[in-house]
Amino acid sequence: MILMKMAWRNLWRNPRRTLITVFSMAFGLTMMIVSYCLMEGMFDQMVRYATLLGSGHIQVHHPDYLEDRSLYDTIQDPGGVLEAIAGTGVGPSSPRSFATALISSGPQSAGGILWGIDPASEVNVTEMHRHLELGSFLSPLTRGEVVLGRNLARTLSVGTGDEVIVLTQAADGSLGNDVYTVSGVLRSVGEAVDRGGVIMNIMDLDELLSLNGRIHEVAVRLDQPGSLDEGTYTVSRALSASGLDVRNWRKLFPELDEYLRLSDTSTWIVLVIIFAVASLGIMNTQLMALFERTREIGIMRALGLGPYSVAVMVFLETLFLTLFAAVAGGVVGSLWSSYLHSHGWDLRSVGGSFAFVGVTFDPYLRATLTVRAVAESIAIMIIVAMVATIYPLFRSTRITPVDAIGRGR
Amino acid sequence: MAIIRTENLSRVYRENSIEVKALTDVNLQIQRGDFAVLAGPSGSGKTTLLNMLGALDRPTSGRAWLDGHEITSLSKMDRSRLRRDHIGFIFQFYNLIPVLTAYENAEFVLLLQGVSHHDRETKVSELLKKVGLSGLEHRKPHELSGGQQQRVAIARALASSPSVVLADEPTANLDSQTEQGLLDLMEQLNRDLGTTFLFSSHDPEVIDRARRLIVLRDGVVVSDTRRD
Repeated sequence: MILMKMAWRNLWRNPRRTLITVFSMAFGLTMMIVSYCLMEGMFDQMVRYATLLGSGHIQVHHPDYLEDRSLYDTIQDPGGVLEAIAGTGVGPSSPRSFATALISSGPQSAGGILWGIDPASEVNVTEMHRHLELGSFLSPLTRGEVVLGRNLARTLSVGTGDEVIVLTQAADGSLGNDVYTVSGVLRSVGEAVDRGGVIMNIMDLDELLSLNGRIHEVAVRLDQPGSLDEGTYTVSRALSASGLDVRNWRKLFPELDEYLRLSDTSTWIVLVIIFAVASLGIMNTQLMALFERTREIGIMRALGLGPYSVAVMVFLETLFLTLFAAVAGGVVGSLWSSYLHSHGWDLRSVGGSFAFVGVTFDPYLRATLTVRAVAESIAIMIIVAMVATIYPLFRSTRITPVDAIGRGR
Repeated sequence: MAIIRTENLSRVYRENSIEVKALTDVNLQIQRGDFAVLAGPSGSGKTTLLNMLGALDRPTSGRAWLDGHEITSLSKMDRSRLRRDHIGFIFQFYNLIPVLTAYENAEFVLLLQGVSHHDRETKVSELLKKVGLSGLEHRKPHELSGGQQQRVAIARALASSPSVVLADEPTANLDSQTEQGLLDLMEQLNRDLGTTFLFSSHDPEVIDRARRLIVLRDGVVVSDTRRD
């Protein structure tokens, strides 16, 4: 108790130094929490854009489909698959079909990818319907309409209400062709969709390709995106008898997965370096305080205070400093991150949207404030502060009464 | 009965590869209840001897006993315990702990000993009253005069009821009136409590009060006079 009392009072012998140290530690912690939350936000955004603007969290295909995306590698019983997935309760799912095609409007033509979707269920799986630059998304009740990727619409010089002609190879060997009205144009969602995406009702595509009810893909959106492995396992188990291939976005976008894993590690390294630098301040403060009090500590040692009790006192001083900084930095960092979560950080002034592994990201960064981000940042700060105090602690145990008081003669 | 005994106690310092003999073969016995002074000019070895007897420093050779414990063979931790339980220190520059009040400074050693709150309160209040500091208990050292600080140091030295109080030039920084008052106080405590006092000093006032005078010169005891 006396050690705690002395440690506490020692901090206020030089309030300016104590406050500067606490401020620098709290500032470091604030920056750490904000950086952590921004990184988390960026990673979340990457995953969200990659999954909710296209793939979904999990996809089910014919086992050979992803190898060459052949028109003929289809899911034979889409109703059964959708029913089995619905039975697992992991989240909504939606059927899809794909084909490559030649799209033309007047003298303009371009290669494109036809995306057949079920508008009614697709809106529960992806958020493409909210990502429109012009017009409206497909309605479950209307047929013969398409939504085009941004660059494709520019290439064809079409807008909403214009017509495009689609020409493709059907599954029965015939040439499928039809005219569709452009109901909307997407904002940038990804390289492939931007350049050639033609999103249409799956029933229109089924007719065009003569698929007779067969589809190429079922996309699943998990209600709990954090339980990706568990969700993938549940869907795989439910479809095990069908022999279909079940993959989650980590397998579908291995580059993104790898990038996130590497970024996670590099974020930690950067954060630890930031704090290691800040910790030099702690070490400096404690060493200065120790040198100033060498005589006083020597007296306490002479009166019978053991060397380890001196170390405990120095440790308690660091602990108090750290706790102050943890509370101050934790509160400010959380509030700031919370602000950046609700208001976002607009980076449009420094650059436009950017694409990574085929997915386009808005230059609008939102922080993701989590208990984990705050707790881990505080834990890192405490660990680094404790490591920084090892040398001062060691020095404190080496102070002998006679060295401090003077040998005399 | 000797409370302190030394046997050929020597201390050699090495400074820039030059050996300096601070103490040479000191043989000494201090009796329980003594009020003794180690006198001698600066550099004669007074503080060095006091540091040896206070278990603050180790001799180069020879042995020393305090209240039956052989100080010279004790470990660092055991020497800490010996100082805490058997020795009271009074230093030239008072050396109070600046963040503690007068009361807390006097209480410090009792806290280290694990004495109960009630016993600490009784003992410290009684001692502060004895040294004339009633009413100043809650003052920090910087709020006290030099004489008052030294009175707190005396209370601190006596709080644990030590076998011996070692006082290194305790009056060196005090005016003569304060010095007289403090010496009166220490004499009285010596008489009332039977506590052994061993001073190092070259102050004539302190030497005058000594009932035993040990004179050191160049690290050697040159005279040892009892003046009861």
